[in-house]
Amino acid sequence: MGFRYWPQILVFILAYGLEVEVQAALEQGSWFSEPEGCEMNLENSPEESGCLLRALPAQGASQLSWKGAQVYAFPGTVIFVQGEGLRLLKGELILKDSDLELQDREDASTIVLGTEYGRMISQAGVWLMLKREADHWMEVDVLRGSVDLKLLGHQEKLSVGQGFSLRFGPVNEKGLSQVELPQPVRVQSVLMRWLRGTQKDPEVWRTKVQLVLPSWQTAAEEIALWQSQTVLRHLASVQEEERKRAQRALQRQREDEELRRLFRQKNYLE
Amino acid sequence: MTVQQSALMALTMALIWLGAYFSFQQHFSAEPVYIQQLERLSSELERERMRTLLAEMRMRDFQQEVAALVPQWLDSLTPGQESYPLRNLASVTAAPPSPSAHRNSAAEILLEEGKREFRQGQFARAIRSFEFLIEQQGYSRHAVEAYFLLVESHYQLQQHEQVLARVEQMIQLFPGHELTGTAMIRMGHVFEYRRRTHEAQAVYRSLIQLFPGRAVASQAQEALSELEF
Repeated sequence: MGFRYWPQILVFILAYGLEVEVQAALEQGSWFSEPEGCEMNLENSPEESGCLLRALPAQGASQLSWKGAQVYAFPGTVIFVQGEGLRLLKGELILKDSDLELQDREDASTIVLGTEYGRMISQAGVWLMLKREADHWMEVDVLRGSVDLKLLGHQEKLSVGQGFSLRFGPVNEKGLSQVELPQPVRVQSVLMRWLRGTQKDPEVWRTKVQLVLPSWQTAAEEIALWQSQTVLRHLASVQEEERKRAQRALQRQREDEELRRLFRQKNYLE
Repeated sequence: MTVQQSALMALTMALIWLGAYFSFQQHFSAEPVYIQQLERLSSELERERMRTLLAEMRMRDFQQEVAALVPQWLDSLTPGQESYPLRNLASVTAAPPSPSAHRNSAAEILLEEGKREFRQGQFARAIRSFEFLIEQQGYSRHAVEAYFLLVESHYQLQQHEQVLARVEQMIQLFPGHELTGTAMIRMGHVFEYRRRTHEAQAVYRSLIQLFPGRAVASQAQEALSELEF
């Protein structure tokens, strides 16, 4: 054997020794599930004991199809799916119902999002963001469509419309789940999270945003009007209270004068 | 055999020896087993954490349901020893105060900080504080005062463009507020300073109309008289 093949042998040995590792791109996140793999069977044969899912770290959100809707969960978010309901245990998610137009979805089934403070029932075609804060208060931002809230202790259901944001939390000493005043969605923060969460083509996303933005503006105007009316009502009630107080003081003064007059009369001082 | 060929052969042999050495070492090493065990344990720990989170959620469910029911019973009980367990339960399940209270206090702290800087003549720092308050707590009842002091800070630094911009915002957001009227006086001053007399006059006239009988209207009247004189 001559020495002319040594370079080839050397190259073969080097190539054999190289370790090649392929790592999947982390743009779209995946799930860590309990029981293992339960997210695969959510549509067909959901686990009776429920399925716990945690969104793994990634650039984008982890996506899940469930009851015809899409759930986008930000990294670290934990959700629990059982039967007909979905619960957010930790973190933040975006829920998108079917892409069909609202009028085509009248007969469509609704999606129930459970919380310890009551239930949220989504209407057809809804896009919403739900966030659990560190103190367990929940915040819902309705991007499109509307959501009905049936909260503990409240007789009436609350409807949160397109472009509105609502925070609700623990039951108070009167047995009512606490609700803050509705606010318009915080446009900049919501848009950034929407884009980051759904990882859409920016052009498609821009079209969708342009469709909903006018209604968000209307929502902000409605809230402003409502708040100014509330302030005016409060001012009017304060003025009325002030007027009554002054009237009472005047009445008391008159009575005192009358008593003094009677006293002087009875004691022959006048 | 040339020197080059010898070197090549030696290199190849060395590589073969190294490859064989590491293969044997890996074969008899326990490291992969430990790595597998570590992965399994990490995964188990994560599952346990998720199950704990679920248990906590169920506990909160129960707590909230009890908290919603207790007040109905409390109303019908007399405040004595017999009702103590139920009152005790109610105190445990009662919610903490609303976070809006905390938010208001946060706005208050920010406003106080900005005011302190303003009083000390640190207008640039005060501007940052008021802008932060407006950005973070725009719905707070302290927002209007923050806007007003922001206008004043810009005026002190002779940043007239910013004064005009902020007063415009105040007119849009708090049209009937007296502080907006006072800020509009500053707007008039800026117009005067820039020799835009007609605009200054218009501002003062609108102030007299918008806030009749108020201190700000008399200030506007004075400024208008001086300007016309």
